[in-house]
Amino acid sequence: MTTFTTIQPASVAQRIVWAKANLFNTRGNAALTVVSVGSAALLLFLAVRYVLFQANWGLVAINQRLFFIGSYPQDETFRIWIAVFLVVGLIAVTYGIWAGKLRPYLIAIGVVAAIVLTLGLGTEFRIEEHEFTDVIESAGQTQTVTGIDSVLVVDRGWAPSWLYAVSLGLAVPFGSTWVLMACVFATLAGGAWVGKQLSRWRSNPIVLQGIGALWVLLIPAIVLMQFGVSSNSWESAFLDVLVFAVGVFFSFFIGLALAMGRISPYWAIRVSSVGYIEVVRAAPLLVWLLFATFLKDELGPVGEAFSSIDLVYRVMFVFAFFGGAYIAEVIRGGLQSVPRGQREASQSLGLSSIQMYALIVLPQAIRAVIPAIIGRFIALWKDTALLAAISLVNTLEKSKKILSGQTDIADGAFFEIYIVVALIYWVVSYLLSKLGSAAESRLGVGERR
Amino acid sequence: MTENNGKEMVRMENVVKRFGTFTALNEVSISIEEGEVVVIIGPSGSGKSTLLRTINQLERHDGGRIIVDGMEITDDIRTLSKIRTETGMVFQQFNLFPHLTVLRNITLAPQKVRHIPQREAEELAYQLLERVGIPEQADKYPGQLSGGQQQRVAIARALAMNPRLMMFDEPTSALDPEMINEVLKVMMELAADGMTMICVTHEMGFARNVANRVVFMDEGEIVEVSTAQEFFTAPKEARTQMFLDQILTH
Ligand SMILES: Nc1ncnc2c1ncn2[C@@H]1O[C@H](COP(=O)(O)OP(=O)(O)OP(=O)(O)O)[C@@H](O)[C@H]1O
Ligand SMILES: [Mg+2]
Repeated sequence: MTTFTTIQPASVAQRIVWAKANLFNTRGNAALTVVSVGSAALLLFLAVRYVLFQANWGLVAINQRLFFIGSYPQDETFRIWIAVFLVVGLIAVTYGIWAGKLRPYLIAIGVVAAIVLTLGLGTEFRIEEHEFTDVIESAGQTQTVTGIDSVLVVDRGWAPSWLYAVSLGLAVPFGSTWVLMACVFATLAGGAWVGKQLSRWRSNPIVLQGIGALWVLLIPAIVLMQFGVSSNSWESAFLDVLVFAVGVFFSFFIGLALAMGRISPYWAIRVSSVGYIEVVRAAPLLVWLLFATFLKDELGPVGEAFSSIDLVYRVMFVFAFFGGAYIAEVIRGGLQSVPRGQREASQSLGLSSIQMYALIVLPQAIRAVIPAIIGRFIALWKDTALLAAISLVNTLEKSKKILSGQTDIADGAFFEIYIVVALIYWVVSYLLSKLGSAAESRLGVGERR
Repeated sequence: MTENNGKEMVRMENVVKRFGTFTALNEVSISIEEGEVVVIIGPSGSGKSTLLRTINQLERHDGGRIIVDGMEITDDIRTLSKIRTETGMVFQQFNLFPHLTVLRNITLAPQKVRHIPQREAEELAYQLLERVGIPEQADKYPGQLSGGQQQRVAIARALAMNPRLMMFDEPTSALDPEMINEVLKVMMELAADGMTMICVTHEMGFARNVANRVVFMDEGEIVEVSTAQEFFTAPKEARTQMFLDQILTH
């Protein structure tokens, strides 16, 4: 019989031995190995070839702005930039305080900044308009037609096309605002440096609470900054992020309240919490979104008041309350995982119920379910795709509009557009899961029991 | 050896506790004086833990009266919280807060419940850690300590509230044998300092040498209360004799 080993062999000779023993030990196994490695290699080759040589990224490139902020008024973009700087700065400072090494991080930022910035200086997109004359034959008659044909020209400057393709994902968000872009990188680096200086006091509750408070205030601050710009012009990725951020923020607190409600000593609170959770989870989010869209006076004055709110706010409301029902169940699981002895110890020390939950039970409960909470947040983020179904112009809807509205230059670049859409969803999901595992390992301190 | 200064610390009168139809405490009455060390022993399931837990109301009693340090337990939350701050409890499973450092485990309740300033609370914590023999572990997390060390932190945590009564529910049962003595030593010192203590324990040496009185429980009832001396040499009840025969031959 074969012995299977998963230990990484060291030398090439050992590798060959290992491969012979595990991958080519029988004829069937050898065939499987060849087929699976071969098809993986083929897929990779096709993908790389497509990205580097076949895809037409021009359409994506000239529509950067539409992808990210849609038709947000040009004069008001400073509001978004302020938000970007707040978020980026806070991420950097937090990273600096709690992450280990600064140097690899700074080097990575430097490399990315160099690529993106030089690429930006070197690349230019423009639409050239050519007059054309065509001769059309119809019903036996020849006719001469003249018109204007738009052609998208991508001038890559000095940058080789592969470099352009690789860094496209990074270059896209920021259009041609290269000065601002440079400032973003500077903020990322500087913030981390500041954080590093602060990290000396990172066990000080003031630093911890201060950073925590800034994170909690961040989302309301960003939303408040949007007042003055009609919610009708919130579009594309900006809309998705905004709905998601507000949804996450409130769904967490709603979920917390519902989870606590489920274990309340008061019967009425318990029953209504359970009822709420069950009802909300019984229908898909899309259905709730449709209710929020079409509700008029069905619920009397409540419905009227609700429907008089901007649709975007109604949608945020739905996201918060829908997400909250799921978060509540996750937190309930966490609460159950905290041993009863923790409550008894708290009580025997004379802590009040509120102190017991705030200081002892909830910190442990939430820590235990961080991966599950992050999972819910990632799901909520991807659910923003549903906004397309209720006539809000999210990233997905915008990309469709780009494809259908710019047929003269779209040139069948469907795949390219949807790759970018997928990339936007992926980047945020990925950052969230990274954030989750970082939080888990940082907060897990001392929980070796 | 009983220091009879006459002040009553705990008084239970006909206390009844039921779990559903099962009666865990059946008309239990006992009076414990200030400075006394009382050891409760008895077979598993006899209601020893339940008795302790009704005193600080981790379990509500269904009948009878419980008076702690002159305060009768009622539905009044303020009295209850006062009683809980005055009674320290040490559990078999330590029940330290795993997400807090040893220091924070100890300072939390004094700061939050007694409103002692942080600096003062920390000073007190260091003193107590010194007293239980582990001054160097303040910044560790409970999970990084041995069982014996954890239990000593748990004792320090309870003492930080400056309790008038300490209750121990099998404090050494979850410990490896070599760690039992370090915990018993702390308990003996505490007894020598005049702390009123109620201990559920299977440590017969401790009962014999430290206890003023021994309470024997069986099936939710107090079968016998006698001095440690009498208890081990001349038990009055047949049930006590049987129990002693069982555990002493092991
Ligand atoms: N929360 C509860 N619900 C139902 N029954 C309980 C509960 N707590 C205790 N009991 C029962 O009450 C009886 C007394 O329990 P208790 O824990 O006081 O016994 P004990 O003397 O401390 O036993 P041990 O030596 O095993 O700790 C047991 O039969 C137990 O099963
Ligand atoms: Mg017990």
